[in-house]
Amino acid sequence: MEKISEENSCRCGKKHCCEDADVPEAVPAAKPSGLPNVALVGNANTGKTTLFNSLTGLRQHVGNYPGVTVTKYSGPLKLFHGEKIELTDLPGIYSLAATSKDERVVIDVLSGRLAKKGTPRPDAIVCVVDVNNLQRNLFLATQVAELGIPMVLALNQIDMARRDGLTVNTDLLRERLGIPVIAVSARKGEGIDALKQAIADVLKNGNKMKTVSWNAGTRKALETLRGGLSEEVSKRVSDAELQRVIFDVASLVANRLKGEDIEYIGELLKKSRACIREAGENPHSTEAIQRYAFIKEILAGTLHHGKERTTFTSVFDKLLLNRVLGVVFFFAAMWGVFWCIYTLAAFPMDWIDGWFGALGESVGAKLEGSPMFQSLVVDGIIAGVGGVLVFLPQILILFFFLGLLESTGYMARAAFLMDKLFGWCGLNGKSFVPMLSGYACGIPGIMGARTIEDPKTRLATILAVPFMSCGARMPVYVLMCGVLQRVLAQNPSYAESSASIASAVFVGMYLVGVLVAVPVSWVYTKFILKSKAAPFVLEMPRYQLPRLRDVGLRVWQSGWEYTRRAGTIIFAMSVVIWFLTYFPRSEETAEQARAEFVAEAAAAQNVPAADFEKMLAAAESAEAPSEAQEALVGELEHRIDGAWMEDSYIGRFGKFCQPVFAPCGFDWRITVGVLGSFPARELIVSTLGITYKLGGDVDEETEDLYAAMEKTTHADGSPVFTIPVIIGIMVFFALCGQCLAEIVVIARESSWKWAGIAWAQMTFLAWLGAVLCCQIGSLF
Amino acid sequence: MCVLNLNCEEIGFSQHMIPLSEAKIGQRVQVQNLDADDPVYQRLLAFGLTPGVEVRIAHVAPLGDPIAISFCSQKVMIRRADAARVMVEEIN
Repeated sequence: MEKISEENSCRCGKKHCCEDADVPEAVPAAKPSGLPNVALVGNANTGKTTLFNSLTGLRQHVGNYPGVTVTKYSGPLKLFHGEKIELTDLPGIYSLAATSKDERVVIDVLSGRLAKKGTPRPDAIVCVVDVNNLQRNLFLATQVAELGIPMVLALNQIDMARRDGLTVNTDLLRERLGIPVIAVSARKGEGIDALKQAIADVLKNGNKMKTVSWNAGTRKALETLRGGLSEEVSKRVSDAELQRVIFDVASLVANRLKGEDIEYIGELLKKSRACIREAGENPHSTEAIQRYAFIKEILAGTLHHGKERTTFTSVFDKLLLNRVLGVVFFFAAMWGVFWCIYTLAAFPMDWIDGWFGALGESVGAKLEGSPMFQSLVVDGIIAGVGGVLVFLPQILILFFFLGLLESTGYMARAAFLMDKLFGWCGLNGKSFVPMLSGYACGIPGIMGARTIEDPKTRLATILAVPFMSCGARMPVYVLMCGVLQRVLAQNPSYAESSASIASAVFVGMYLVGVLVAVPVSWVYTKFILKSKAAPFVLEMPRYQLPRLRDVGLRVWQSGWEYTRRAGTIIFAMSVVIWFLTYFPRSEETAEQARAEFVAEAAAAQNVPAADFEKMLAAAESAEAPSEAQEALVGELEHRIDGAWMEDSYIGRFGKFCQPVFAPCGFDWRITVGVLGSFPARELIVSTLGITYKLGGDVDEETEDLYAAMEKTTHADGSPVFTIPVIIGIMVFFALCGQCLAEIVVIARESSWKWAGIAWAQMTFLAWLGAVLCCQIGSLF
Repeated sequence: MCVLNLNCEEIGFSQHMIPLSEAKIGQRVQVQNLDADDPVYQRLLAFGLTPGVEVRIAHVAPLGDPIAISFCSQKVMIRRADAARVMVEEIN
C-alpha cells in the first residue's frame, strides 16, 4: 500500500514538488530540540486543538511566529518506544490560499521558510479532519499533500459521527490515499494510541498522500510559469507554491517570486492563466472543481450515513438565531459575561490591591531609615508588580468566557446576530465581546480581539476597545460629577436638579467613548488601513459541550502570556514613572514649603511666626504627640509632598505643558494631574490630592478634595472648575489613552507602531474634546 | 449530503440568475461557474461551493444581515454585500 502511494505522491512528475529547493529536508542545525518535528494541520473547529492538548497537555510552549502576531503552540510528545517528537499546532485554516496571515504562516512553516527562524519544516504532518464534514476538510488535506511531507490523516470527532449514525471505511480510505487513516476522538481520548503509532510509522516510512492529478490546462499553466522564471528564482519555489500563485490572485506567496520584475511576473501570470482558459476552464474555480472532483472520487463508497435526523444544532439554531428569543438570549449571556468581568473580578482585584498594599506597608516600615529606597521599593517596585497583576482576574475571566463561547460554537452565532451593528464601520460581529469587555477593562478586551481572524478587523477592534469607558475611569467620573454637583448647586437655576444633572452626565460619559470609537474606526477602515479586509465568511460550527480542560488551558496560557510578555514591560515602565514623580526631591523645596506653611498658618492663627515654629518643632519631636500635634505634622507633610510633586520632573513637565492645556481651561494642577495619570487613569485622584496638599490617600469621595477643588481659582480670581471645564476633564479622561498597561498590551497584540498611533490619536482626541467643551461651554 | 448529490447539476433546470443576497429564507439555489476573481467566491469555493452544488438560505440575522447559508452539510454565514457578488440560479 505504502509503495503505491510513494509512486503516486508526485503526479506532476517534477522533483520540485516533493522537495523544496530552498530548504533541504535535513536542517538539523535549525532544530532547536533536535527532535523530529510533527505539525498538526487542519480546518478550524475540527477539534484540532483538543487533540493537541490531549497529546501534549501542560508541557506546551506558547510563542509567536517571527514577524506576525500569530500564536505558535508547540510541545513535546513521547511515542511508544520512547522516541520523542516535537508537536506543533498550526493555526486552523480552510485553505492554503495564503490571503490571511494564518494561512501564510501555515504554508511558510510547511515549506520550510521559517526553518532558520526557529520553526523547522515538519518531518511529518498529522492532518486533522472532522469526520462529519470529511469532504470539505479534505480540501485542505489535498493542498497540504502537495507540499510533499509524509502525512497521517486523523479522522477526529468519530464519537459524534457514531452518534449521528455515520460510519467510515477507514481501510478503503487508507488504501486510496496511501497514508495511515486513524479514527480518533480527541474529546473521549479514543484512538490516541493508534495515532501515536501511526506517527511513528510515518516518520519511519515517509508515506505521502496521493495528490490531485491536474488536468492538461493546469499542468500547462504551471509549466508556462516555471519556464518563464529565472533559474535562481525557479530553484527557490516548489510547484505547490507556484500553483498557489496561479490560482489565488491575492496570494501572499507571490512575494516568493521577488527577484523578478513585478510587471514581468504580472504578464507571465496572465500567460499562465490563459493556458487554463484555453483548455476551456476557469482559472478562478478550476482548483476547487478539480480538487472536489478528486475528493469525491476518493470518498465514493467510504461513508455510510444513517437515517437523517434532526440534529441538536438545527434545533438550537432555530431558538438561538430567532429574531426575539435569540436576541434575548444573546443579551442575557453578554450581561452575564460582563457582570463577571466587572463585579466578580472586583473581589480578586481588591485582594491583590490589599495584599500589595499590606506588603508595601510592612516592607515600607522596615525601610523607614532611607526614604528614597523605601519609596522605590514601595511605590515603585511593589506597586508596579501589583499594578501588573491587578489586571489578571479580568483577563482570566474574559478568556474563560471566550473559551466557552468558542468551544460551544456560540461565538459564531453571536457574531451573526451582531454583525450588522458593527460591519459598516470596519468592525465585525466578533468585535462585540472585546468591546463589551472594554467597558470593564481595555486590557482583556484588546487581548480578546485575538478571536477575530481578519487582521484588519482585528486591528480596528484593538484601536476601538480603549475608547470604551473602563472601570478605571469611574473614580474620575465620580470625583468630577461630585464637583459638578456642588458647582451646579450654587447656581440658582440648576440648584434643585443638580443631582440629576450630575447623574445624567455620569451616564453620558459611558456613551462618549463608543460615539467617538465607531466613527474613528470608520475613518481607519475607509482611509487608512488600505489593504482590503478579507470577506467575512464564517463557518457556523455544530454546537458542542465545552471541554473544561481546553478552556482551562487557554485561560492559563493567556494569563501567563500577559504576565510574562506584557507584565515585564509594564513593570519596568512603572519604575521609570516612579522615578519621574519622585525626583529631584530637594531639601530646599521642602524647607521652602515649610517656611511658607509656617508663615501662612501663623498669620491665620494670629501668632508670631517664631512661636508657631516652636510649636511645630515641638509637635515634630514629640514622643507621644497629641491629636492636634499629629494633625499639624500631617498637614505639613502634605504641604511638602505637594511642593515636591510640583517640583518633580513630572510636575515641571506639567508646568511646561500648561500652555497646551490652557485652551481646555485647565490650571497647572489639573495639567499635572492629567500628566501624572498617564500610567493609569485613576491616579488623577491621588495626584490631585497631593497637589491640593491633602496627601495622596484621598479617594474620589473625599469631601475635603471637593471643597478644595471648588475653591480653586485662576490668577484673576475666576473659578477653575466651571461646568464646561469639569465636563471637559471627564471627556478628556473618557477619550485619552492614559493607561501604560493598555498601551503595552496594544503593542504586544499588534506592534509598537500601532500602539504609538493609538496613544497619539487618543491623546489628541481627548485634548480636542476638552478644548471643545471649554470653548463652546464658555459661549453661554 | 453533497457526496450523494454528485449530479446536482441535473436536478435543477436553468431558471434565472439572481445574486445570492436576494435569495429568500428557505430558498434553494445553485451556484454557477463564475469567472470571478472575487475573494468571497474563492472562499466559498474552498468550502466546497463548486458549480452546481445546492445551497439553502438557512437563517437571516435579526437586523436583516448577514445571512447563513447551508450546503454540503455545513452552515456558513456571509454578509449580504459579499453575497451580492455571487450569482446563483433558482432551483424549482
